[in-house]
Amino acid sequence: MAATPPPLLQVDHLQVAYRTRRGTVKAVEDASLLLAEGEAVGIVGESGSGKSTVARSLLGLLPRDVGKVVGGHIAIGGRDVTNFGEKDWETIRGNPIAMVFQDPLSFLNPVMRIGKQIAESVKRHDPDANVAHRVEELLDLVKLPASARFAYAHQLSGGMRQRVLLAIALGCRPRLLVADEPTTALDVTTQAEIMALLRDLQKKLHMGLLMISHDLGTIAAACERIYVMYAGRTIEWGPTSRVFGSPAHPYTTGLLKASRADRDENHRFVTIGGNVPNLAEAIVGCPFAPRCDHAFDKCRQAMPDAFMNAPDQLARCWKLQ
Amino acid sequence: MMRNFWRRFLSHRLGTISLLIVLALALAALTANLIFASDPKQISDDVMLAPSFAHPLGTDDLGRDVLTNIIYGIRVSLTVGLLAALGASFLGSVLGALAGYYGGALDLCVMRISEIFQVIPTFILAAVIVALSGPGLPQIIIVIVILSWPQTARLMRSEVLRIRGLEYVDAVRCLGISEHRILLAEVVPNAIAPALAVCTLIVGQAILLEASLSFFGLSSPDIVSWGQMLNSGQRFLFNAWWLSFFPGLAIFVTVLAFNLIGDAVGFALNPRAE
Amino acid sequence: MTVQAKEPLLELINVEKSFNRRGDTPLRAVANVSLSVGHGETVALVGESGSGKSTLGRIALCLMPLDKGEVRLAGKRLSGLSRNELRTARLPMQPIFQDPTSSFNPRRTVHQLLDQALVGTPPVQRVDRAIDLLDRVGLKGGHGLLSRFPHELSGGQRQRLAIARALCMDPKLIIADEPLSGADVSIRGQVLNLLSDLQDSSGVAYLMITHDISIARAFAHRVAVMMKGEIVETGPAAQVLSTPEHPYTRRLVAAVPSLEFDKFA
Repeated sequence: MAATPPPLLQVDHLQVAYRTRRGTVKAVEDASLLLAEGEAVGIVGESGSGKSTVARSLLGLLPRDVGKVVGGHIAIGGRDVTNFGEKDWETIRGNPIAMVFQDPLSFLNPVMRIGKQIAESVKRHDPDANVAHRVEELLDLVKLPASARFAYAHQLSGGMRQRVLLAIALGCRPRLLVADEPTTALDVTTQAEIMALLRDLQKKLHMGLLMISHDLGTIAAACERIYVMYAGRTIEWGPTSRVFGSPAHPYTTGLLKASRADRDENHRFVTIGGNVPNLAEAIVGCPFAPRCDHAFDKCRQAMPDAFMNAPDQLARCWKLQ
Repeated sequence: MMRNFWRRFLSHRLGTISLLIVLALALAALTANLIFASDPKQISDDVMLAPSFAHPLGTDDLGRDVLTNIIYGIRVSLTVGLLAALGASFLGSVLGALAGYYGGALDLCVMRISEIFQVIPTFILAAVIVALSGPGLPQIIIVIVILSWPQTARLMRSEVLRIRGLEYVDAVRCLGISEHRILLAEVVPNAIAPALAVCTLIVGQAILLEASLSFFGLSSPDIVSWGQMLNSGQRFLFNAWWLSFFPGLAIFVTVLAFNLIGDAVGFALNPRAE
Repeated sequence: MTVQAKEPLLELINVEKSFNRRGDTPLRAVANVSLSVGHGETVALVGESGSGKSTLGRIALCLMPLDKGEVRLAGKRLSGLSRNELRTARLPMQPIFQDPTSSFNPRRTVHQLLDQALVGTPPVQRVDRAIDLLDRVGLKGGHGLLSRFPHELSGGQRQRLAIARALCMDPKLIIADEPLSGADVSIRGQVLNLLSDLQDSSGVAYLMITHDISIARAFAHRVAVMMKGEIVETGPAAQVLSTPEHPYTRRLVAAVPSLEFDKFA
């Protein structure tokens, strides 16, 4: 029997700490996820969830000397990258794993025409290719006119810039594309276009997509499976339709209702009371317990294990035991 | 807020040391005639003596004690420096704030005039004014104020321009507060930090300018000034090094001290830095 | 909440505003816009970036002069008034701005900020009134909170402080520019419930400028959709944003991803 290929991305109990003036902050306490070839997976979370930190650790982009992986493992395409140094990361970035960010304007060189910037990416990862031809191909792939290659970043709209960023990322022929809040800075109509483009590209190129966002709608539109993060931990995961259709974790339920601007029986907007916990302090028990309507004693004593709510849907909540 | 300012200022080591040095200098200047029985202009037969116990910094070609002259010279330097800097900063701040806040014709006027003064070679203008009006401290101070206010004005103006666009200014406007009060109470206090830091730099510039004018003999001979001492001492640079070295060192230390105080002030005025 | 059928509280009548651009034709930020907000009503002004909604908000607050048209508050014309007259006539209308960081003078404590806004209250009563207002917006902390600086508070707390400051004047109308942009989704409800309670208890009206359609649909009585300086559609919020008529509104509503999923057993 042929061995099953390793998952494209595997993160096991990742822990990331930041050194700040106020001491060490554990931005990621326990995050695990799996992504198979060609799969679209989303990480959903709010401020303090640690989702962006997870994304950055996948490419070794944690701020040097300040952020460090202090536990767990990351494997990309079967290769353990947890202890990679800068030189090793250079062999991984772009291919097999590439990233697009939230604000395209800060990530594009303002004095270089975008065609040249895309060409740079191509030359780095595809040394034998016909560069001009490939640039045209990429622009076509992201649905930009060929003439766009002569433009400067500031001459393009937000949506177009994001497409350029995608073209640069795709120039590396990545097997996995990490998109960190790719549409947050864009208008809602442009968001929809870029999301459609991402879905399209992902299917066409059989590319893995890891999308990070605080916007549930965006994640739901693009991802087949999702992970919900809270206070540096993955607390619920499963197929999108399941997690959003029948959320198991009280946080996910609250988040969903708040996103839809649902009202409760008293006609009040559903909200989650309180604030996210202070990550500089160690948390005993479930981090969501202080804000949870269903919390009981066990919740305050120990971090819940993962329990199954449905065949592929798991959540770390004592309620499910 | 003041307590915060001093706490932060004093945490800046170099700035605090510099402040102490300046205070020591000022104290020395004020008590000069009490400590030193000798008149700085007192000539004697002990000419061209190298530094010794009796004359710690030596004597000059007319037998005058160098140390005494240095101490008396502090008065001139500090007076010119502080008065000129305060004058230039006040004038520059007012004009810069008004130009930045109200804009329009006022802004245009102030900016063009300030450009004129920034373009004229400093020393030449100073020399011309002094030559026409006669030597004297007031003239020197006025010259420096005229030449230095544009620096402060520009800084103030650009900060005011930035701040007047901030949302909190509009919020306060909606509370019914008059434009003048908004400028004075909301904008200027937040705009003044760079201007204050430059003020101390101007003290240094003023001291140097006064020294230069004196060096070229454009100052009144009645005044005991470090620049004048340099002027007299330059002829004897090789046989009586102390006549140039100590006045030069005094200028250097004083100007540097004020620059460092400026650094500390800028640091202390930032309300958000940890 | 019944909307009183009197004359409108705020009226923007045929407002036009253009900005000159160097080496280019002037930019028409607001083109012949008319909009009204009734007493105790919530009107959402919805649009994407570049629609002119923020500019219109500033014109409504008379913080920006208009080229043509009128701004009326409770029937009184504001747009032509002198500076001095405007200062008092505008008081029943208070702003809440988008960026909680630059909404406050960084050198003033919470106490000083509220004290400054409590102009109508006799000085002896101001501290008590300030604490009362902070309590009303959900900022517990009493005297300790009064001596903090805005940058020492969290983003959500600053947003509540902005609401508290707006309330100091007992306003009839609050114009809020993206009031929820700073806060996480899960706690948005706290601010919305607060605003709703304030409207129920004091009858204050809101002109809410936002790009977020789900908020507009859930919170506002009426909505005006703005595109490129013009209002393309107005009407009851729930209706317009569920069954839009204008093609642009349709595109806007269709672009919002749905969060309705089938429940599993």
